[in-house]
Order: sequence, then C-alpha cells, then structure tokens
Amino acid sequence: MNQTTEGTASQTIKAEVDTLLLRAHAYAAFIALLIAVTFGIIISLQFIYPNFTADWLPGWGRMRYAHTQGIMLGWLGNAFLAFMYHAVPVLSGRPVTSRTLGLWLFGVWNFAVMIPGWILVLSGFSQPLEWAEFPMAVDIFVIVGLALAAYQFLPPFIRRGVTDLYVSSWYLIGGLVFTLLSYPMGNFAPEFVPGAAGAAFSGLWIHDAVGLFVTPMALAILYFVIPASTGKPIFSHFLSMLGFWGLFFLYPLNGTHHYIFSVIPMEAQMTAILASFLLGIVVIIVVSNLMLSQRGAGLIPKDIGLRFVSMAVVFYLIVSIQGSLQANMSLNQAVHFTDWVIGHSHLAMLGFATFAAIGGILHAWQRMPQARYNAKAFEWAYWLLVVGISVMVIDLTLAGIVQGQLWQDGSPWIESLQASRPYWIVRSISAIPVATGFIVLLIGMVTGERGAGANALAASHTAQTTDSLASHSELHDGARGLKMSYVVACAAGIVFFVLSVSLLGLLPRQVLEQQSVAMAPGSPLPYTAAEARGRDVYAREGCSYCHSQQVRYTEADIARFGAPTLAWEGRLEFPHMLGTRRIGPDLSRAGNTRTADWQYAHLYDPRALVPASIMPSYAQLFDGGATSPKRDAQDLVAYIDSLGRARELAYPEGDAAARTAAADNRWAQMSLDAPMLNAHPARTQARGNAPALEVTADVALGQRLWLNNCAGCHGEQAQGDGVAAQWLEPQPKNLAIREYSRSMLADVLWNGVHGSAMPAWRDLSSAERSALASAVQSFSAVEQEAANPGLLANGADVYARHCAECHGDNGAGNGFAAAQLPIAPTDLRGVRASLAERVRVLENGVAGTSMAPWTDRLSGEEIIAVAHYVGEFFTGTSNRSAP
Amino acid sequence: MITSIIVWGSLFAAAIFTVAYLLSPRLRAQVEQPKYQFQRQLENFDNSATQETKRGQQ
Repeated sequence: MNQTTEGTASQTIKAEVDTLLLRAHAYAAFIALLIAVTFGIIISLQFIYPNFTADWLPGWGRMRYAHTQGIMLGWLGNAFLAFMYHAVPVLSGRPVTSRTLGLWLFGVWNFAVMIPGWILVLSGFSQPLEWAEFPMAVDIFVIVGLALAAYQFLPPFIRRGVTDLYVSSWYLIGGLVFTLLSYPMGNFAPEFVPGAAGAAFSGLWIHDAVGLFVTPMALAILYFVIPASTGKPIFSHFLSMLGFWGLFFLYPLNGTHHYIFSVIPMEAQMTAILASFLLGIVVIIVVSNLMLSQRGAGLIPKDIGLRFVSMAVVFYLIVSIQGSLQANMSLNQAVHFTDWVIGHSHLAMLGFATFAAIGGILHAWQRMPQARYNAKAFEWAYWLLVVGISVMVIDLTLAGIVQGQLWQDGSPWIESLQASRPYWIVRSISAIPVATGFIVLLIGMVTGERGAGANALAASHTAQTTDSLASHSELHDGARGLKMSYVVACAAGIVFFVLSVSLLGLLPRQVLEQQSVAMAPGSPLPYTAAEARGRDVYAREGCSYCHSQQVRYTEADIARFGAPTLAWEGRLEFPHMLGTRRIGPDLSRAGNTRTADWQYAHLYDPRALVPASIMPSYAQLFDGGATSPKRDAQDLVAYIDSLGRARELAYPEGDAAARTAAADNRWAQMSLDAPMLNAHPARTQARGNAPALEVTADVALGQRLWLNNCAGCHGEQAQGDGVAAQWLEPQPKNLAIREYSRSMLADVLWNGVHGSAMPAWRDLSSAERSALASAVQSFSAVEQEAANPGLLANGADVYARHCAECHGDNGAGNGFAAAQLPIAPTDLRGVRASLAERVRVLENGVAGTSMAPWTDRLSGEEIIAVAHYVGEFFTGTSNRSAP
Repeated sequence: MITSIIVWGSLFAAAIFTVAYLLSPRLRAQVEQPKYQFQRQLENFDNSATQETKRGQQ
C-alpha cells in the first residue's frame, strides 16, 4: 500500500511512500544483518578457540570477507534504501520513479549482489581488498544497483526543483552520486594499478565507503528524524550546510590515512592527516548542531526512532574524534594495525551507522498504519545494543593500546596474542547483547499489534502548522535569486571528488611509478607459475587480513621486520595486499625464513608448532597430513617463500644503485640505510656472534617459554616427540639424550639451525634465552661413560679418516666439506649425545641431513670406538651443574 | 604546498560563507528556509498518516 499526503500553501506536496518496497528492504536489511553478525561471531570465537571450525564451515578469511560486505552492502545498503522510500517522497514532495524500478533494484541488490556475493567469497572467489571483498563480477551488479537507486531516488528531487533543498536531501543526493563514482574507483583501480599505488586507491575507497556512502546516508537520517520526532526545525540549517560541504570536501581527502608511514608519498599522507584533523572540527560543528536540534527531547528521548538517532549522534562524535586522533602520526605509529582500528570501524558501522539506520527504519515503521509494532521489544533492543556495542568498542580500544605497546617495545609477537586473549573473550561476550538486540528488534517488527506505532503516533499527534513556520513561508519566493548557486554547488562536489582522486590516487601513482623505475633492479624476477597460483590462494583465504605486507617507515617496524618496503617491491601486486591489520606478523620478508616442512606443518596444524598461535588450520589444503600437501598448499608455500625475494636478490648492489637514484628522497634513504634487510627474529643465520647467556636463570620462566615455544616440536619432556615432530625433517632433537654447552645453546637460540625447522629466537630477551637454555639443559639425562684409552685411539683413527672432513679435526663442524652441506655438521664441542644415541646415529644416519648410515663402511667395533671418541670433544659444563 | 591550500582554502571558504551569512539577512533567510519548509512537509505527512490511521480505526 502507499501512504499519501497532499498540499501546502506554498508548494504542492504529494508524498507517496511505497511501503511495500520499504518493508521489503527493511526485512532484507535485518536478515542480512543477522547473517553478517553470525559470520562476525564465528570469526570472533575463532580468536579464542582457533580450532572452532568444522569441515562444512568456510575458512576464517572467507567469513571475514562475508562479514564486512554483509554489514556494508547487505545491512546498511538495504536499510538506507528502505529509509529512502520513506524520506525521498517527504523531502521532495514527489513519489520515487516507479515501483517496477524499485522491484528491479530490490532484486539486483539482494539476488545479484548479496546472495551471489556471499556464495562466491565463501567459495573462494574474492578480492583481498578491505570493504571491496566481493569479486569484480559482483561489483558490476553493485554499480548497476547504485545506478538504479540513483534513477529511483534522484528524479523526485529534480522534478521538485533544486532550490531550497533541505540538508537531508543534499546528503541523499550526494551519497547516491558519489558512491556511484567512488565504488568503481575503489573496487577496480587496485586490480590494474599495482602495489602501493593501488593501495592509494584502496585507501580512498575505504574512506569513501564510510565518508561518501555510509555517513551521508546516516546523516540524512539524523537530520530527518530529529526534526520529525521533536516537531521542531533543526537548530541551524546554516551549520548543517557548513557541515555538509566540509564533510564532502574533507572525507575524500582522508583516504591515505589508512597507509600512514607506508611508501605512498609523504605529501599524500600529510594531506590525509590534515584532512582528518579538519574533519574532526567539522564533525564537532555537525554534532553540535544535531545536539542543539534535540533540545527539549531529553537525554534519552521517548520516541524510539529519535532515541536510536540520538545515540547515533553520540557515536558519530566519538568515532570521528577517534579517527582524527588515529591519523595523528605519533599515535598512528603505535596503534595502527591494532584492534583499536577494528574497534573504530565497529563504532562507525555498528555504532553510528547502524543506530542511525535503525532509527530511520523505526521512524518510518511507526508511520505505516499496517505495520506490526512492538514498542517493548524496541526498548529492549535499544538497551541491549547500547550496552553490547559500547562494551565491544571500549574493549577493542583497550586491546589495541595494549597490542601497540607490546609491538613498540619489541616483545615477541606471540606475547601480543596472549595479552589480547582476555580482550577477545570480552569482545565475543559483547556480541551476545548485540546479536540479541538485533533479533529482538526484528521480533519487534513482526510481532505486536498491527499499526500500533501509527496508532500511538495518532494519539499524540495534533494537526499543526505553527506560527513560526508560517512566518517563514514568505521567504521562499524571495530567495530564488540564488538558484544558480546549486548548480555551482553540484559542480563543486564533482570537483571535490576529482581533487581527492587526483591528489591521493593519481599523483601518488605517478610518483611511485617514477620511484619504481629509478630504484628497481634491472630485471626483477616475476613470480613462477606456482607462486602466482599461491598468491591467489593467499588472497582467497584472506591471509592479508592478519598479515600485512608492508614494512612501515617506523623504528618499531624496522627493528622487528627490517628495511621498509620500497615502491618497486609491489610491482607485481595486482591487487596489493598491504593490509590494514596485523594479527600475525608482517610477511613482506617471509621468504627464506622458514623451511618448507615447517610451513606445511604450520598451515596444517599451527598450534602444533606455536601452541599460543590463533591462526586457523588450513588442513583442507592437505591430503590427511602435513606431509601430504595438495597443490594449493604447495603453491601457497612457494608464494610465501617468494616474499621479499626480489629485494633480497637485489641486495646489496641494487640498494647501492637505488641510493644514488633516490639521493633526494629521505624516506627511500631510510629504507636503504636500514641496518638489516630482513630482521625477522626467527630467520636462521650463520653460526657465531651470539650474545653470551646469563649465568643465572629463572626456572619457571624457562619452563613457560619451553611449553609456549618449543614443546610443539621437541615435546613437553624434550624427547623430540612433539606433535609437529612427525612432519619435520630433520626431526627435532631428543634433548633428553643430549647435553649442550651454554655457548652452544646461546648460538642455536640466537642463530637457529639453518636448513632445519629450528628457528632463531632473537625476539626473546637475554634473560628469556638464558632461562630457556637452562630449561633445555635440565631435560638432559646423559650419563658420562667411561672411556678406554685404546678404544679412544681407535676412534680417533676412524674419525680422522671418515668424519673430520665434515665435522673438522677438532669436532667443531668446520671440516673442509662442511660449507657444501645444506645443514651444517654438528659442532661436537657444544653438544654430546648419549653413547647409545651416538651409536644409533652412526648406524642409521640422520634423515634430512648429510649424515649417512655408516654400517656398510665401518665395522661394529669401529662404530663403538668413534662413538666414544666424539664424546670427548664436548667442552660444555656438565648438565647437572648448570644453573 | 597542497596541504596549505587545503587548510587555507577550506578555512577561507568557510569564513566567506559565515561572514556572508551573518551580514546578509537575505542570505540568512535563504539558507534557513529549507528547514521550515521541510518541517511543514513533515507535518503534512504526519497529519495525513494520522488521518489515515483514524479512518482505519473507524
């Protein structure tokens, strides 16, 4: 049915609200919301229970894709469309273009965008771009939908004439037009512009999605519902227009603040930072006007639509100030990539925009005579949502501050996960009132008496045209002299958008291209076919949601990851995967850091290797075990192993040439002057130069570190039987049948064992490495065996003939053949296995190393003799006297 | 350079708009007019909806 009203003295008004389409979009919105929130809850639970998954459940990254697109397009898109079916006829005094068009729009938005979009991303067809996750095929339908929406809702304003447009109309028109312009830019450009230059366009879209789509629509609702519910005009239309133009000028200029301290030119970053600061000021003007417009409505308004809208105003103020602060460079270098950013986006989308959308829908719902309306349910929903979202946002803000602090002080990455766990638990708990609130809200819209809202409204309503309104009716005709100003204003809007794309998209692209050409090595290697396929797997599974691929130009990043990313390093990245969040560490230098078997084991069962890891298992990429990777897993590991390779191969000659080419670029110099190209703390390096361990050690700390970092491979009792041991070659050592000198442990913990899965642990402090070394020594049960001089002499002879070429004359692992071996021969001065183990090794060899079985070359006596002899090389302190 | 243009440009535009608003009663009336007109449209709509509801109740 349609609602219609006609006639005023100054203008004929025929506000025809298509309630069928309004209802359809409202129901679709809430269904999409519940689906998107379900995805959100599942992925939040996987932070706490990483194994909370099932064969039928898509991977974490895919659900994350579905979550964000569901909230933005499914929930907010439908909610805004629903509201426009109410607002546009009232604002313009004209009906929307047509119901048939509306049905097409509804069909396209839900059956060509949302359902296929969800199915595709869950099936692995997606774009690894924040707020642009649906694949390009779906993007085309989004643009069709936006074009249909423009054709549905803009003509009523044009037919009405554009003089004296109310601020909500400006926002609706602006939102429809600029989303239509910015969506293709943000969703397509990064597919064709590589690396950081593509990220510049992504940044624009990330902020345009909020600033030119969500915010204008939400503000249109606020400016609509507040005067409609209070019965009084807004405080100042002047301030509202000042805000409108300020926001439309500044929002598009904010985009690059998502990539502060990246390789994107600093001029673009500074522009975005400044625009973010100015935006905060404009928002204060907007919010002041909105709050003053509610005067007399009370702190918690009785009208339920106004109550939601009123809370949206509060959320808007907080989220905007928060955004301005987060763009500040000194704060940004600490909190970027943390959960505070996630809290910020939840406050924007679930706080500000969602409360505005609910307020708008309930306002319209209340005015539909046949709509079911359960006021009690709406009351409950309001409080559940206020509590739930507030707790969630505060919790994520605190989590972000803690994470930022730990990253800044160089703590091991895993500690940021362990410290975050309590916050992630609270976040998941806060989802209970949020989800319940949404369900109760929907219940309120399908239960209760039909027309109860309209009846209540009718009971409290008295027909009125106040004197104050009448006195202003005369002004209308007299003000037409400024009619052309609207044309100028429309042109200015287009100019703003073009300006933002030029300043923050096209110009950075040009600069980055010049840098790439000047600084790239002559023939950078392309991806192999396997690596290219692996990149697709990486993108498909949403790995870039947790692992950024950019070392930022900050001290903390340089210390933790190495040289900041140069422009040319992203030349093959279509689209870029710079990332906006780090749950795991940055991977831009991940290549040549871990062995393939470690990578497979880590993908198959992350917690087998890193007990505190929250990475989801990708067991579906394997045929039943980590040693049976399917092609996807092989490709993915090939891709990960290629990350950073080009820069590494260009180093140091390429960096020297680049230093000359970019002599006047101080940011590039910062990267080129970084002390280490790859500072990954786990990366193995040549033996020697390890800092000495402390003499005393904290036993409890050592045991804790052992369980958190070592037990997965070596086993809880260090017998080389950890869960991951079965997948690694060479297998982790059984430490119970070996004893180590502290200098050897200092070396291994600092440098790792190159060629094996044993990583370096340079991110542990000196005290932690000392404690861990003591824990290792405490596991040893090696007994000293008696040595017969004759036996030792025979052993020495055998050793000289067969072993010294690798292990060296003095057992130091430095024989003349040692340098040719993939895994360095054991330095027998620093480790001594039990006699039985020495014999076993001589008889069986060590799988995965160059140590072969010797039973066909040595007799049993010779094996016994040399086994005794090599034990004599050990120079370490006896285990039992170790601290 | 660009950032200076943005700062001074936006402040200048806002200042011009504000001064013109304060000094010109005609512009003030023009700028504030839409909120009153919108209020009338809202009231007409609500009146109409109320009448429709009351007719439905009868």
